[in-house]
Amino acid sequence: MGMAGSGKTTLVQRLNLELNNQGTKSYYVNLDPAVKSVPFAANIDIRDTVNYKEVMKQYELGPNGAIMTSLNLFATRFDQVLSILEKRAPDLEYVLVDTPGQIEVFTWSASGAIITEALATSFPTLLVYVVDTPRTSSPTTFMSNMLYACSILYKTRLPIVLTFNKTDILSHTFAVDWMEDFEKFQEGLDRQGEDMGYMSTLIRSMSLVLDEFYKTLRKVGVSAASGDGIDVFFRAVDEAAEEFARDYLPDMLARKAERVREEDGRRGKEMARLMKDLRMEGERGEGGGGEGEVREGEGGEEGKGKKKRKDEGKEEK
Amino acid sequence: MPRCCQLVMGPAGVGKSTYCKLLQEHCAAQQGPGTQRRAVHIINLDPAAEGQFAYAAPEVDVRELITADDVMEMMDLGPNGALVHCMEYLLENLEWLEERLEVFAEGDYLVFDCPGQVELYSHIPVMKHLVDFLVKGPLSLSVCGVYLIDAHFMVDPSKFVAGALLCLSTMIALEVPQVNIISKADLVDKEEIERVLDMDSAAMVARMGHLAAHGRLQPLTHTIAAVVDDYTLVGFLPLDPNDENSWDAILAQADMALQYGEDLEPREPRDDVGDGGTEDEDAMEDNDIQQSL
Repeated sequence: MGMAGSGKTTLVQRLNLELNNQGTKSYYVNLDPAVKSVPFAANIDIRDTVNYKEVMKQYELGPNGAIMTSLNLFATRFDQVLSILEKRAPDLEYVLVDTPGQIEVFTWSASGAIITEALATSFPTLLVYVVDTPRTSSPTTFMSNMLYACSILYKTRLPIVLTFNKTDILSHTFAVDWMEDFEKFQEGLDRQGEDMGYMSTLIRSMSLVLDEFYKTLRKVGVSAASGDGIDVFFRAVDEAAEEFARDYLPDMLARKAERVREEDGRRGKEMARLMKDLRMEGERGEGGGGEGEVREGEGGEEGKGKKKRKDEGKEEK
Repeated sequence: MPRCCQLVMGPAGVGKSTYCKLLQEHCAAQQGPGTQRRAVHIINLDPAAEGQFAYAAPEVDVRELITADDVMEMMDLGPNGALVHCMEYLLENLEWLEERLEVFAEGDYLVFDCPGQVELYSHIPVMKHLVDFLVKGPLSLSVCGVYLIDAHFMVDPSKFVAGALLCLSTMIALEVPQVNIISKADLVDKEEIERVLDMDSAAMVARMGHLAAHGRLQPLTHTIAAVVDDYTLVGFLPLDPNDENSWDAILAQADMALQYGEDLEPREPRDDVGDGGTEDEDAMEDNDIQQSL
């Protein structure tokens, strides 16, 4: 996952390509209903089940509303996706999941949460947080972006691989410096030349927070365009997957056990509410393009793998 | 006093437009003297806003300048690209905004309904540039950010932390004083919210499960908890539209941030755009000590 324009889809395409070249079995799930056509087709594509343009028309929504609704529709069928994945899992190394362009459609929505939890319960899952390196070169923008990533960490409770993309345009070493050396970051702030006033104490406190945050994650620099850094990326991913098993999974299972009654009840209610909303809207239209069964395609290449990775998360058996 | 404005922000669907509407109605219904009785004017800054607003037509609407729909059609961009393009277009045509905002009188209270997409704040800092223009440019507005978080995220300490970090992320991006509001508080159990808000850091951490409290994320969690403890800046105010006190509290805090309605020492004349933010910052420092909200 990552901000719109950071290069998520390009990265997933690159990863798919590399894995296929290596002969590693992988699987590709696309959750972005509005993505333009891509060279490699996904094995499971939300666009096969939900027609985004139809949704816009039938439900009389604008583009943002349509993306949200498309995702909601797909979430109600996600158990089908899970069954398919579970069937394929023994043969797969990685499952790559591409998320919708606008980051908060996934991070702060009920359907995003449902999908994330469903995957994490079945497979080792991790988040690939893609950063648009050339655009993040101002210290405050960087900080704001990192705080957002930290927010996602607490929301999803999954290990993060911080992936600085577009290193072919700008190397990410400045970011690594900022993350590993607080003084350098301060210098960057000073050079930015703003009179921070009261913000400076807040920024200093947040920098301490971010210092700790950086220690919890792995960071890599890649270029989805050129293929640079991909092997380092996969090493980080493999490590994060182990971390999931060691640290994140027990926590998740414990919380799940605690909440199982609550969770099921609440999710059931959310689903029921979703279904009710959809049924109500469905009465206006012909079915809104979301009635299809989840279909499984061959993908651009043969897709089989064990680990699941989202440009949102990645999982492995 | 300069025109005051609230920038209403938050994730899509959190209720920004509803907030604007309710704020306007609340202020219109105030009787008697005092700063509560203010003329609230709503300005829509979201070029991708869809359909009807919760409020009556905004007095200024960026969609008169440019809409995301038009851009998507004309330039064959997706929704994200179109939105960014619209905002950048607005930044290139700030005179348009200036003309529309100049008509408001001193003492008018402006409420900006802002786009939700976080990309505009922490990825491509168009909102920051816009805020800079409002504060440091010819309009010299007194600006306070109002960030809305859905109450459903406030009932769980982990989600609370996630929400607090979102607020902080925006604060740091825009560098103006900010009031954080729990939206739709009437839909969630009041006691749950109060429990989360009253928790001190130790209690909060204890409720966050093993990973956050004792495991891998422990040092990070503790550091965040310390900031939340220290900084009332991250205090959250619940918004229950049915509760007058809720509105009073919100307006009071926003006013402190804006210095609305107070005649302080005569201000230094603003002769330099660089001074634009300073007064708000000073105000915030003073108020920081007094704030217990």
